[in-house]
Amino acid sequence: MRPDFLRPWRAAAWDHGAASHLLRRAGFGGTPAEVAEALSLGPQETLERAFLDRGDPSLHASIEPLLSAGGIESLQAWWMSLILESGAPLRERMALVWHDHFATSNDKVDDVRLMHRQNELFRASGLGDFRELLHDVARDAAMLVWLDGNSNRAEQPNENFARELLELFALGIGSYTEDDVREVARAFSGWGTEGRSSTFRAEHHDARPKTIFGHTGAWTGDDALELVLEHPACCRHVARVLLEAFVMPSPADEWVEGVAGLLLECEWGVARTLEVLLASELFFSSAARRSRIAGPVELVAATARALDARIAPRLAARMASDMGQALFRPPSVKGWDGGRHWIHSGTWIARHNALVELATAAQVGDGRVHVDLERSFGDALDALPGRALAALIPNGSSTRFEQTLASAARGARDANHARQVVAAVVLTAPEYHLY
Amino acid sequence: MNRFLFALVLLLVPFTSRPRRAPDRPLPTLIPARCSLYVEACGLQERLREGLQDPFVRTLLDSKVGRAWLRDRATPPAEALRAADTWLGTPVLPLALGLVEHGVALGVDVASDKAVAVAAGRDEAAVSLGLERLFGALTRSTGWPGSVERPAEHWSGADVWRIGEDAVIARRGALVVLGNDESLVRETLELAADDATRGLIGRAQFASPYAERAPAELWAWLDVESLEPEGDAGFHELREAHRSPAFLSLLGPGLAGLATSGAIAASASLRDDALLVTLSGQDSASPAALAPGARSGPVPPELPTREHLAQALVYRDLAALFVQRLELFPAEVQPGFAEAVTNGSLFFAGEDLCEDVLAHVSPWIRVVMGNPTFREGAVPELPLPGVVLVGVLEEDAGESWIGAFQTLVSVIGLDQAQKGQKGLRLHLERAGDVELSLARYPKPGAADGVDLRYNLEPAVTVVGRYLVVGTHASLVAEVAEDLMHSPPLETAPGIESLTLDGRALAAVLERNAEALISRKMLDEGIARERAAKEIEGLRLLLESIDEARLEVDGVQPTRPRLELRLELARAPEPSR
Repeated sequence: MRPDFLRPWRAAAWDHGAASHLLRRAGFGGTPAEVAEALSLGPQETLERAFLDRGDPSLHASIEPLLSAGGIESLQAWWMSLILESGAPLRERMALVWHDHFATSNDKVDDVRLMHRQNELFRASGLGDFRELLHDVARDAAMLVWLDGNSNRAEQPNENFARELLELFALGIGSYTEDDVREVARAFSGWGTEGRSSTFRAEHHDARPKTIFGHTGAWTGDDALELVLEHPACCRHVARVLLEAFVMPSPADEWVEGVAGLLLECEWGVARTLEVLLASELFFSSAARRSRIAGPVELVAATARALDARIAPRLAARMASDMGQALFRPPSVKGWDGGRHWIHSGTWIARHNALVELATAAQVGDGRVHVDLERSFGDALDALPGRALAALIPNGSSTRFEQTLASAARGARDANHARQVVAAVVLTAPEYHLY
Repeated sequence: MNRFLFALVLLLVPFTSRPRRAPDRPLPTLIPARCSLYVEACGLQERLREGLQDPFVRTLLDSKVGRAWLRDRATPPAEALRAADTWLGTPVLPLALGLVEHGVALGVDVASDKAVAVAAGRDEAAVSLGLERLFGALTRSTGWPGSVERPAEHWSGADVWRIGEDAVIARRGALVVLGNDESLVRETLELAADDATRGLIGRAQFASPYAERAPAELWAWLDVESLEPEGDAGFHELREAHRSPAFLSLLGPGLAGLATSGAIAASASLRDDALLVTLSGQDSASPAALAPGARSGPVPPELPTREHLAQALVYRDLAALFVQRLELFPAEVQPGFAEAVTNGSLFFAGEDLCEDVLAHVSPWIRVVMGNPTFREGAVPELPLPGVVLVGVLEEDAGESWIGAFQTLVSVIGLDQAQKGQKGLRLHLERAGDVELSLARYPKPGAADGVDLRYNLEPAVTVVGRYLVVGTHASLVAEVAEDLMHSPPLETAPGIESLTLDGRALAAVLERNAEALISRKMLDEGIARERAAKEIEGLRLLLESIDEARLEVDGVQPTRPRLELRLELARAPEPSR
């Protein structure tokens, strides 16, 4: 029996704020037209649409001819183009979540093709069965290079992958012992790469018995993964990841237990779990709404969508990098710290500059941004503060803020300047950065 | 004669009397001296007289790029002209000719971003009629801002119309002045009223190249020095090209001379299906010590065409560059030189880079660009052209260069091995009569893809007195074979040159089109269709050039000259 907080939310309260909330969490926000469409469709159909894959195949294929050149900037721009296009919002969102979770950096891997292959794995399997995903990630060549699979040999086990598997990817601290790490490492000995493919070198594998979580056997890497997945902490760990990514930071233990149960009920199916979670009372609760500090990638993408702006993907990726989230280059195996760590004195300046440029720009980065604020906010100046707030901070602003905006608009040189000033003030307000 | 006929004759007299003609004086006398950019359209009258039958226009429209441009137009040129006739209520070309028959010039005060254009028409009547028709059509179709039915003001004997906030149009006799700044237009009208030779022609730096100009369709002059206060960092870096070892080594003293010129005169003309563009610099700061011919030396001969994409002959006196580095370059680049000299000695087995190595190489170097032949299983997904350099050495100097190449490859390989990468491996191979020292990456795995780095298979050989070094072994072997029985030329041409095969370059672009389209999509955020169209436009542009030849004459370091000749390819006649 599912806990109460996972009961379907009452659609009667479906309004602009709720629609924006769903579009932001199940994707990267919506354009004014998409929010309006969601309002008319209702939550159920809006969520169903978030699961669809309606992307432009030519955009998805556009990275292929650039892979041999090896520049990570092209790969960053390409992924940003898929996020900005929003043809498969939830799929891209989930890929970003797994990229942060199974954090792998090109700074060490130094191979754009491998990073691309891992990214496609997250895209293709990110909404599927978590158990399969975990097996695939363990065999992924980028991961094997990143966590030193090639130097994990029977005679001298390398514990990097085993340790991160238990600590970060599947269980969490407190659910295993140091002996478990050593034994899991032995189980993965011999897993490495040959060229750009993953391979198993039997001569480097330690085939002797190992004891993992108290179970003894001649475990292989795949066996170790099964033991990890059977561990009761695993579904709770994944449930916490989903709650933090889609609902709110620091979720209550009760919610974690409930979503872990849901995950098992859905046979580890991520999409099936999200179908329930993103339609639940918990998801639409006031505590969940605007409870997360937007990460740079989602901030740039959601701002572009809210303003109905066109940003060149390479520039958008650079903006996100300046704000502290360089795709394919997470700072460590822990991924990005996120939350309050997104904003500090250095990254705030980058956020401020990028958002002001977006708001005021007819010309950013060689004219590679196009923003039509008149289309987004309308031409009636007296309604400008209200419309800007509705589009950018739905249900999250005060009358006083609206009055401040009206005053700023009155001080502008002309109508266009007023729209730019209002947009810049809203985008740089602390409230705007809560998603 | 009855009274009716008398009245008719009286009415016709003004139209049969000699019209007031435009002043017969050079247009630069009408452009204010503060303008730092001057452009004169010299051949416009011919274009307007002949219309679409003009040879210049026909050549452009019949070229491949012209045909492609026409394909994209919804309205063919003849039809567009007919539409313009209807819009104006009179044939457009004769009307325009009446407005500009004695020339058109544009002056720009770059510092203030203001411009003034002067058109010397056939006579007062033609100009009045032209303006009247133009104003009428504009008012009818666009609701032109401001009243143009009659002049708003009169300055210096001219009728003046104001259009919008900034634009001013004035007519004085057969002269039309158009500008976006009142003071510039007033100055121009005052110059027109004054018979004395003033204006831009009064500036010696302008008058001299203007007097020397050859017939051309377009002639322009730019006071580069005056742009310095407004220039950005890139501009200032360019102005310091004569003090940049990297610029001088890569692009040469001639182009450094142009970049540092106080003023530049430019012209464009069309001769026998070829577009000719010239740039002449004045008061350049390029160092005389590095100018072509400052040191004599044998010249590698031109190579037979083997579908090469480009061939160049350049003058790079690296020995002088190193030996005179203290006099030629600022202090901040000296450590770089010191490092290069030390590393050079390491690679050349302890020999002094300047005295023992570079001083024994002729400053004339031939550069060949071509398509390499890649190994099976190692054809890069993005196959790029390769480059080969040919130098002429003094006798017996070849061995030390081959040793230096091998040492360099070993050092690079060591660095790559330390990073856990598969590095370049040295090989000795024979291709026909040529023995090559080369380096290549091991073949990639079947499923690994072939990366960009497989374009690099560096090689070196010495054939007679020639040192042949390049980015790909197959090209080096090919060039070395061509040189085997050709002795170096002892007489230097004095100019640097570059010849490009437009169609071969278009083929390279076509081969890599997918990558360029993808890059454009991600860089600019545009749809695939638009990116593909823009790349195709560039390909057509290259394909429309049979051959491009660039000559840089830097023998006189203070007066560098560049000439670009583009032989336009004619499109095949459409099949009937």
